[in-house]
Amino acid sequence: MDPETNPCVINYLDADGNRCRVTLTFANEVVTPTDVDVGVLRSFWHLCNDCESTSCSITQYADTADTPTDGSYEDTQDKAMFVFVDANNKTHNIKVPAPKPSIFLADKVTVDLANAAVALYTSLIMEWFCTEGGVVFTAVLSGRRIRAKGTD
Amino acid sequence: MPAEVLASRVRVDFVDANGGKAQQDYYLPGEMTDIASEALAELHLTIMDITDAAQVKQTLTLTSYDIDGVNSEGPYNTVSDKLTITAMDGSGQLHTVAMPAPREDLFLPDRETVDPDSEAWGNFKDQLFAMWKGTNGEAMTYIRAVRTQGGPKGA
Repeated sequence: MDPETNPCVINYLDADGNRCRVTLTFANEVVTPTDVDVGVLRSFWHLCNDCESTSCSITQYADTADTPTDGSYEDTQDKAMFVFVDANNKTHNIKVPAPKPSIFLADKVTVDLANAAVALYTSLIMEWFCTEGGVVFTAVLSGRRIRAKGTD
Repeated sequence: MPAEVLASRVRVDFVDANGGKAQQDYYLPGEMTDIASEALAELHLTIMDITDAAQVKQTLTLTSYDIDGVNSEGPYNTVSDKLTITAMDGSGQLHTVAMPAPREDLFLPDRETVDPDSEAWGNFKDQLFAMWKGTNGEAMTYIRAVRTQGGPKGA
């Protein structure tokens, strides 16, 4: 079941370079920092303060009730690593932990890019997402299973 | 000048059945728009179709914000200076939020109590209490707001 609220963290920077953060809880309909109401709130505080708001994040908790956890690669150290190429012809790795066995070819290592679920995922990445520098992805080159510890 | 927003980060945290954790960052181009929530929902669903890990949360971070520059005037211009706002949730529990570097003209002559007639404060307060919720999603009731001091990392 989804929580009733989403935590929002707003970071501030003063002229001396010191930082602080403010944590608020909002209703769970508020899912993005660019939500109009969040923008208004930040703008109103901007008129009340002597520092700058540098970033804002909102965490949205997923509904895990129906999440499957019975695959061969259910450990988060097992990852499907996708290689995307951007508009500058640079490659970028994006990892998905605990991949389902069904997305691999018979060798159990190579991701089947023609798999419907995989194709949906890779097309979504290319349609909406980009590199950290804002460069769009133009293609997915490959996907393969790797072992990698901890966070990305 | 505010920094140009090249991309906005979406951080997805995962946990497996044994408590193992992993994390992957995705980026949306530029400053996010309303498309962000749709993109997030779609991302969540498509990842669910190819992973066995439970996705416990998705954190969407706007990496910078295009507002009109840094304010630096005033006697309380550090993030250690706070306006601490106290509120009560539906079950009677008190909550505080400490907003950094409040402007001098928000306060009464005692320099501690917020001037209830300040238009800037009134606008912020109205917006804050329209949005701020208790952990169960209930509305918060304003109690007081006073100037305090805390560490630079406090909130």
